[in-house]
Amino acid sequence: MTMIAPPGLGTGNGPAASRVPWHRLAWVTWRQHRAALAAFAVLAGLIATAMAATGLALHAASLRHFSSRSQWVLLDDTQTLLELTLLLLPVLAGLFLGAPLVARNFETGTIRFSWVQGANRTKCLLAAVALIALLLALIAVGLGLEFRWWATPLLVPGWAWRPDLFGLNPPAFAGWIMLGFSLGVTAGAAIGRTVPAMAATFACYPALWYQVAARWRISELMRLRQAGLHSRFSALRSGYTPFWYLQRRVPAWLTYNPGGRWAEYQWIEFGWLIAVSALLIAGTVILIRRRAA
Amino acid sequence: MAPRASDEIRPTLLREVVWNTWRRHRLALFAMAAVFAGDAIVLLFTGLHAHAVHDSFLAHRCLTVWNSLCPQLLNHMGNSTWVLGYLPWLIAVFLGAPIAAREFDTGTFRFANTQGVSARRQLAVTLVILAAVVMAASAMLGLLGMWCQDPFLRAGAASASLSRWQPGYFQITAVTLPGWTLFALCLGLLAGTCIKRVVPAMAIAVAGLAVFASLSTGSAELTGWSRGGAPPQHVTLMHWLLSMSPAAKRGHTLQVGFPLGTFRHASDRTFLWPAGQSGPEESWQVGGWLAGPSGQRLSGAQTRATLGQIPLHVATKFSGVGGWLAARHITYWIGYQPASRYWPFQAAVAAILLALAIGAGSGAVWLVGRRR
Repeated sequence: MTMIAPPGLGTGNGPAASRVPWHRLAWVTWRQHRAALAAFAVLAGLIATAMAATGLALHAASLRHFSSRSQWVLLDDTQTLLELTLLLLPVLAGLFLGAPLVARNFETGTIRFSWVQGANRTKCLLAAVALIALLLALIAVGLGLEFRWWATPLLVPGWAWRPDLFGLNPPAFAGWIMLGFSLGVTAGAAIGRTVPAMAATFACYPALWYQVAARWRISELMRLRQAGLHSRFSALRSGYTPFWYLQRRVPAWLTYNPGGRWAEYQWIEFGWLIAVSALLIAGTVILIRRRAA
Repeated sequence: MAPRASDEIRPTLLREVVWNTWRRHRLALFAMAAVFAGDAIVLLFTGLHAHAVHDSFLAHRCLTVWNSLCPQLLNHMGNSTWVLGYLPWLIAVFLGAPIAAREFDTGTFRFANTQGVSARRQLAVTLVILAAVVMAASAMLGLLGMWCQDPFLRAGAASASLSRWQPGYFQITAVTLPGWTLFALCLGLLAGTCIKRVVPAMAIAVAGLAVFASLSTGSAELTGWSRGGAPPQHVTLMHWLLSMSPAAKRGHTLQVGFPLGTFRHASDRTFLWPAGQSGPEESWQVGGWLAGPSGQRLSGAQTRATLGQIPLHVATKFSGVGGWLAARHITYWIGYQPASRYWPFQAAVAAILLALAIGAGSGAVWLVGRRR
């Protein structure tokens, strides 16, 4: 059977595009991706449950200053596992929700059917992206808040500034999960095949995260607003300790960001991550509009 | 006499199946080759740098005199295990899971499985070829990784309690890494054959490998903690394996702060000298226990009861506990695996992974023959 799409149909130019209400498209999105969304929700639920169980036990124990070594072992293991799982969550969103979103339709050829329906392809894509992104953002905010509750009594003060943990706080975590998802969607639309799109997402996201967390955030972003302070203490430099400076009465300058600015930087990170995600989705829209049905 | 048809067909078919395997998986193989090459380049540069820094480490006499420069030098020697640690995951997800699942997902199995070669033989040949490539590449990367980590471990063993017995190093040598990659490949293949859809099979492969890795080397000791503050039960497969028939010697000092009862020290995370113990170099402590005056091993309850009698002023004094126990003819013993058993244990882990891989691979081949 051969189907021919008349010119204009499915590209957003026809009057049919406005006839399909958004809530219907949300239902279609849910039907198409319910297995992946349910699996992701189950994973998030498991993480949340594990965090709650270990958090309650560790918070109670930490009030007694960890009387046994087994509590240290639990803290050590839970912290490692939690951080790793939470850091991987945006990659998993990109791999299993983002990359197949468009690529699977290309690969199986269902675009020939789905793009010639009452709702145009742009509207279909935006409805799917918006619904999934909203669910992911809710999950990210929930897990981010719970991680703050879990970590604050257990980790050293100032842990939220740590390069690897800064992005696990609610606003930034929501931004990173959006970016992972958008990256997957764009890779899927650009490559048109699911597994290579997943591989591309897997290759790009960790590299980007590492560049931002280890370098760019500290060297560029957090210098946007920093205070100067005259101090006798300085960072270690080529083996010389602060004692070396003290002995020689060398005044050293230290620049820092006050703790009150942490939330401001969280929102800055959220803002640029959402902006990049929006650009990626806009690029995806352009890609699929140019593609023949 | 005219040659029989089977004499001519068999080699032709084998060649064609091999060619067919290459054609179908060339993209994945190219991608994996790129990953392996990238890893090799990273390891090569890290290794050259680490060896140069190690020379500087020795020049600063850091093995004998710990000065302020030593920690930085040790840090600069780096830790390259992450480069190798994620390989099994990539192989399970991007190579193993799609092998059979893609055929079912796209429907091409209806065509592919009705050719002159049976579906089982096609899959078996594909698996053997991919397994050979993956194992050879992993073994070479494992060798490179060992060379790369060597200075870090040599320096760290003397100063920072690092050991090649630790899971992070033990699992990525030239012996165990091929075992892990082969197992990951077969696990992904089995997931794909069972589920018949690529993306869910990839997800299940990740989950399966995560569970297995956690049980074998990871954080499975959480289960023991919930028993009312009881000592952690190290239930990881690696600990169970390394605890087999350990050598025993008199312990030097007993530290009360360590887990009581079973007296298992954190064998999967500390070096031989964690609690002031001394023992043969490069060996691995797997446990500790108290022995009574007649040499019999005290049970967990007896140990707790004995240690409960130690007065606080003795327990807080350095080496006070040792003297208190010695006065009562109670001795502290440690169990350890000598350095000479390192490679036999490596071979044992590789053999276990190989057996599991053969089981998973055979299961997948058997399953694909049953599909209609």
